[in-house]
Amino acid sequence: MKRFEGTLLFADIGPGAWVLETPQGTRLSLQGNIPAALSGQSVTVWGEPSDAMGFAMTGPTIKVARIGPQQSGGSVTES
Amino acid sequence: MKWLGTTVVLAWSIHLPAFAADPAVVDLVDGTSLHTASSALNLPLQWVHENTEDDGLTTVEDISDKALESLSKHPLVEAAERSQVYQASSVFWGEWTPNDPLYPKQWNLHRIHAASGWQVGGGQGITVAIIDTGIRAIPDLEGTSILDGISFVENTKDTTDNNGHGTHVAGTIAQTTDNEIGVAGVAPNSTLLPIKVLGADGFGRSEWIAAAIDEACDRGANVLNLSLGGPQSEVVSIAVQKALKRGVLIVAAAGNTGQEGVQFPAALPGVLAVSAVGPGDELAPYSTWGSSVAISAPGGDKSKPDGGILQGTIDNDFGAFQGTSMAAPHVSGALAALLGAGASPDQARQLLLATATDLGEPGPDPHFGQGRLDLAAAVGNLLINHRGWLFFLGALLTLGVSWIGRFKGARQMLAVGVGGLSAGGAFFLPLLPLRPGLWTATLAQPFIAWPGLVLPWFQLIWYSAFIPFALTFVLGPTKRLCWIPMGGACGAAIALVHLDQAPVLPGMLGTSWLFFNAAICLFCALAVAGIQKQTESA
Repeated sequence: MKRFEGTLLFADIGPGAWVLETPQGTRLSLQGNIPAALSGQSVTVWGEPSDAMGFAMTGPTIKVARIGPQQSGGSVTES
Repeated sequence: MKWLGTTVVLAWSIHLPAFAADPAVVDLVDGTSLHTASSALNLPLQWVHENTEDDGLTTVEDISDKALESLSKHPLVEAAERSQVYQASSVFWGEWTPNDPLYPKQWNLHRIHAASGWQVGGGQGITVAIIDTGIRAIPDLEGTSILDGISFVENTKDTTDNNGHGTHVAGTIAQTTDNEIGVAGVAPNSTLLPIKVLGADGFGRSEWIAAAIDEACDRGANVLNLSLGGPQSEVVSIAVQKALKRGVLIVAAAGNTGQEGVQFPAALPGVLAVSAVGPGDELAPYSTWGSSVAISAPGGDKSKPDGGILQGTIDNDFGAFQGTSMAAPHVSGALAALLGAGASPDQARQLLLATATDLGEPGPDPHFGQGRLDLAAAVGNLLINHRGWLFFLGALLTLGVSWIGRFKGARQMLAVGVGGLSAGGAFFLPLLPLRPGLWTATLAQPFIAWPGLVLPWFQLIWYSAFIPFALTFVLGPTKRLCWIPMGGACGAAIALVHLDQAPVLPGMLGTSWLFFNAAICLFCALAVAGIQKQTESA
């Protein structure tokens, strides 16, 4: 499982789509249950790159297994 | 519903020369305040619009050419020029306004001149597959023809939209128009085929999308709208290639990365990749761009006042969305309108690209492709340059053949008129300020296409010499009505040889059918001429 860090945003695309904006500016599209309470916060996401298609089209898609407040700074990392 | 009698649709802009009395436009260095600039330049500058403060665009009245020239060299000024006048000009005599209460807020439909598509039938007889999150039957879609679709999403049998995206996309294409509810759509008379491939979370699997493309083609869809994207997929690529080979048009959203690199499947050759523009015709900040972009269309920019794309959503409200997902259905709807007007798939595609309003760098560019969609220019081109030309050829051929038959006076004029109408139809009707209706759209097509519009089951018979031959047999020997088969047969001959492809029959077989029947039509017209000449001599 990979770990991704960045800011959780509900992107104003179509009816709205959850994205993780990494420090590099990439907007990863998030698939899965996302707690709205974390919106706008720095978060850590554990998940796998997904080959799913969708309407968000903001960047690569991550199938989210777990998400929580950011544990450490930094960019996209793998654990 | 009402007519704006003097409104002229922008189809092409005529650039008029500037005069010294015209105000000047002064583009200030970004960040310069109006007060600072006015003081430094000693000019009563005014913002062009309150929204142009960020861009530094100002105007000034009563300035001489010499002062304007020196102004352009000032360090606070990026550019200064005389204000240019652009005059609206068009082949359309008016723009019909539907009674949908929110239509005035649909800047997107005004920008692409969707009204011209309604004048030619609004996509009547054309099926557009919405490969998306499904469609919910909201009140403002009640008058829209929606087929029973299919869902490929696991554990979901029906195609009801439980996200909102697909319903919004469907509405842009075919929202019921002039029904006193909500908003209008680009091709409201087209038929929608909902194919659900994205779940409530907005995601779906590549195999579902591949299957959806195959299924849409099998069910007779003419246009596929793919407001979705993701990683490359071999099965989707194969499905797209098969669909394109079947003559189906595929429109896809370029992506919402705000960066270069058109998403899959929009980037596939043959797919019309659509980038998004905002209300000011600028590339929307979220829009993906790249060399694969074919055309741009309004996708909304909610950072601008009322800049979103307004359409019905699943909560029985009307939501302003933004995204290249919103841009793609404008192109799908425009294609449906052109196909419904009788254009072939290749012709519809070429017309849209050739008549798009050039934006950004001159000529095609990676941001806007061929430019921003302009349906009025495409429809106008189809009617004038194509139908008008066929009308002229039909009339000319009839004139020649009727001369052989010694037709004179009113009889010859009637024959020539029928010849023109038979070849090009009453192509001018949609240009007149008439209420859009099936009758004007039908009459605007060549006569040879009429029976097929009413009885679509015998296309090969209608696109043949059958009717001209029957008319020749019955009316050819008569003196009072011989002008009907004379003009009808000549016009049909012209119309047949100008068709891209015969219905049903593939490739060369279809082409041979058209030319063989055109020859029979010409033979019929010559037979009428021969009979009448003999009668005249006797």
